Amino acid sequence: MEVKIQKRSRWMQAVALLLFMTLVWAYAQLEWGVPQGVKRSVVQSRGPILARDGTVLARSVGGERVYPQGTLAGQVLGMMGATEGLEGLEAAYNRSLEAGQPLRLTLDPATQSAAEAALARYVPEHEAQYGSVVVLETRTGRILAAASYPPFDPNKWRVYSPETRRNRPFLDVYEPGSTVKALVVAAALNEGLTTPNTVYDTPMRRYVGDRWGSTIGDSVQHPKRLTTREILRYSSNVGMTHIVEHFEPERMRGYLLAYGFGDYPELPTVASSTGRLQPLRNWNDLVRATNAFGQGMSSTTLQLAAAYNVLANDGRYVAPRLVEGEPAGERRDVLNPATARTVRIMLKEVVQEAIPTQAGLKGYDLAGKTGTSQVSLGAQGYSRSLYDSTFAGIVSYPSDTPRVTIAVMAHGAKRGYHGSQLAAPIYRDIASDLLSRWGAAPTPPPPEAQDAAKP
Amino acid sequence: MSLQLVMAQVLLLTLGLIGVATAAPGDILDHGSKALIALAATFLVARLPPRFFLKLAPYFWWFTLLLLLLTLFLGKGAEGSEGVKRWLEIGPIRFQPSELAKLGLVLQLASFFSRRGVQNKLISATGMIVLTTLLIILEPDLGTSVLTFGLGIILMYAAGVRITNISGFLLALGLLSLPFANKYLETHPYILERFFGHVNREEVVEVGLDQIGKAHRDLNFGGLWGQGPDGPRYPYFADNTDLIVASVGFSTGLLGVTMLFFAYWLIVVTALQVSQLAARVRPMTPEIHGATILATGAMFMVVGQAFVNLAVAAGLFPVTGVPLPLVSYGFSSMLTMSLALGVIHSAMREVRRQLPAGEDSPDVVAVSAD
Repeated sequence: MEVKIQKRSRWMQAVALLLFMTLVWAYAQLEWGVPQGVKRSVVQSRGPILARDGTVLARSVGGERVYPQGTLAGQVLGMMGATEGLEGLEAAYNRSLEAGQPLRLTLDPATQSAAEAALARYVPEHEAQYGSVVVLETRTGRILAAASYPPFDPNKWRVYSPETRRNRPFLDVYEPGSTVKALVVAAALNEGLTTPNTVYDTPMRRYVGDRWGSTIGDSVQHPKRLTTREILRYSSNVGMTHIVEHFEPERMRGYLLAYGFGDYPELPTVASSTGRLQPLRNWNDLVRATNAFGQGMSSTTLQLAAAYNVLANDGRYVAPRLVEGEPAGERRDVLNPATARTVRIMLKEVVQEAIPTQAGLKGYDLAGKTGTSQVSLGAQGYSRSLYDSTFAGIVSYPSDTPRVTIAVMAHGAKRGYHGSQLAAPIYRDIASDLLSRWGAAPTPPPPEAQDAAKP
Repeated sequence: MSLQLVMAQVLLLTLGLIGVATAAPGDILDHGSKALIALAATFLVARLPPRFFLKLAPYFWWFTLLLLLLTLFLGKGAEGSEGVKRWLEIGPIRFQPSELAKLGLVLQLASFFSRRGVQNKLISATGMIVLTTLLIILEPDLGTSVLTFGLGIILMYAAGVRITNISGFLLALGLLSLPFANKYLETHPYILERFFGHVNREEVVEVGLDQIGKAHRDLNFGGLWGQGPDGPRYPYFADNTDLIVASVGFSTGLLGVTMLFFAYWLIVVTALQVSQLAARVRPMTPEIHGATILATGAMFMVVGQAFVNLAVAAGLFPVTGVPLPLVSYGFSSMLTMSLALGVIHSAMREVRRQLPAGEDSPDVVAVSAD
């Protein structure tokens, strides 16, 4: 009996030792982070983020979130912390990604990389602080590219500043400048307030508004009388004040709203901001005039691209979208199709006559408008040394068939800060990249032009 | 008194205090004062000889059965799950009779085997185990009833009942319970849910973390050295009771959790030492025999439950809902477990006193036998 009890107590001790070792093993794994047997299935099942063509932009491998494309669309993707998404799409779609659902974007990796490459080429060259680009597919409003510069690699997000993580095309608000002129001209044409060939008296400076008015000046030398076409070509602020002279503030503001300015873009879940339009009660002659050339109002690069997409889309506004499979946003008719076509032709002339090398490609249908806006410093008024260079344009192929709409913005360039010197070449490079990928052949110049070219 | 047992108890109570300070800082004073009362209870019970427990056992056991029966009719559920009746309220006191019933079973079986030997009347012994388990099953509290049943088997094994008898009993009971098991599982679907929820845990894709996942996050944040009770953490359900080991691990890291294991290991070693020392007392008197059964049973009561709890928290077992003995917030468990430790103290002292002269008592520090 005594021996039996002793033996059995030894057995129990051995079994207890085994069980305790199991526990120590399990807890050491949980707390020590040695190779895992008792699994921590926290982020194993997090869904991947895919580009439109299925390229993996973010996925979970063995509990780690990796971004195989590196800096490509880094700011759009945001990043993943230890347990959940912290910024960008990782944060916005945290719940559905946690549930293992894949997120398919409208982004096209080739377009995105073309946009990022163009920014990376020109922004440092002009010693600018940052830049952003949006490329929209004209018919559907799909965002093909949303690029920011400087680049951001979410794999190593801890070493970047919050400034660099910022998804600039959706979040940065600035005054879009002269790019808005084409939109206002389109609105005026649509209202019958002007025609492409209406002639205006355009001195270099003009006083606008009565008591609280101000003198509007032009920066590009131009003839004393300009047609509406030439006002766009010379980017004449004075000319624009003439065109909107009889535009009722309420109607004009209504057009700007319809273009998508002053209201959040319909992007569900994704963080985006909006520029502002002045409330109607503030609208006087001066506000109307400055709005006509894109100052005293603000927008994001995305909003600018969506507004130009109205021109490209024969007058119809299509809400931009970033995530495939979500319901399409609102569509509304803003302009007559004929008006939109007329303005496109005018913008084509702007590129061909004013900035043929900076924004044009010989034999291709590129149309767009530059902008160089002064940067508001809040209460101190406008800065004299800080400019936003902008460009908004349309790429058509075949001719007169808009395919994509591009908006470019670069901030604070120290050298060559004009839209035509900085933003226009970015647009041109992206367009050239897209056209060559489409395999687009250049249109030969018309025969009479060929004849004229011969000696 | 056994010094290593006191060390183990103080370690566990201190770690429990740290865990409560981490998870529910408002309860520190409450928990701390109750820990002191529990420690005092251990010292009081340790003064009594095993003879006393063996005599008291039948009355105590019947008393716990009565309480279990009362629970079936007057019992209260915990907040959130009113359907299960596990708590009994008498005036200001609120406790779980199933905790006491386990101690009752230990005493009763020890008393029974020491009086009747281990060859005869085994049917009545098995009847005691089945009756106690059955009353707990009806509450329903599957986790505790499995532990209680296991306790009964271990007691038979420790007492020296032949393996053939034990396995025969298990086989017969298994066959008899089959028809009832189906009915029981149908009435209480949560049991199957928990079991398959555990088995399929890796495959079930959930939004966010489940309770065990949150506990693992805490453990992971704790790392090797811990973040201290004031470290930034997210509260979750049962982080001061059933999953307190996660709070302890968060505060004190792997170091603290290892100390926790060490304390339980000390209890195992001390209780089994009682059996090993008792084997030298020849011939073995009924009282010494009873003392070894008491010590092993009390040890299993504490450590068996601790093992189940720790395995649940580690994700090895399905969720059962048993507290961590002497560590979790909650007085009825802490007091019962302290009484059990007192029983081990008492058995140890009795065995040491009966040791033949010249035999030294192996303890880490020499202490008087009385």
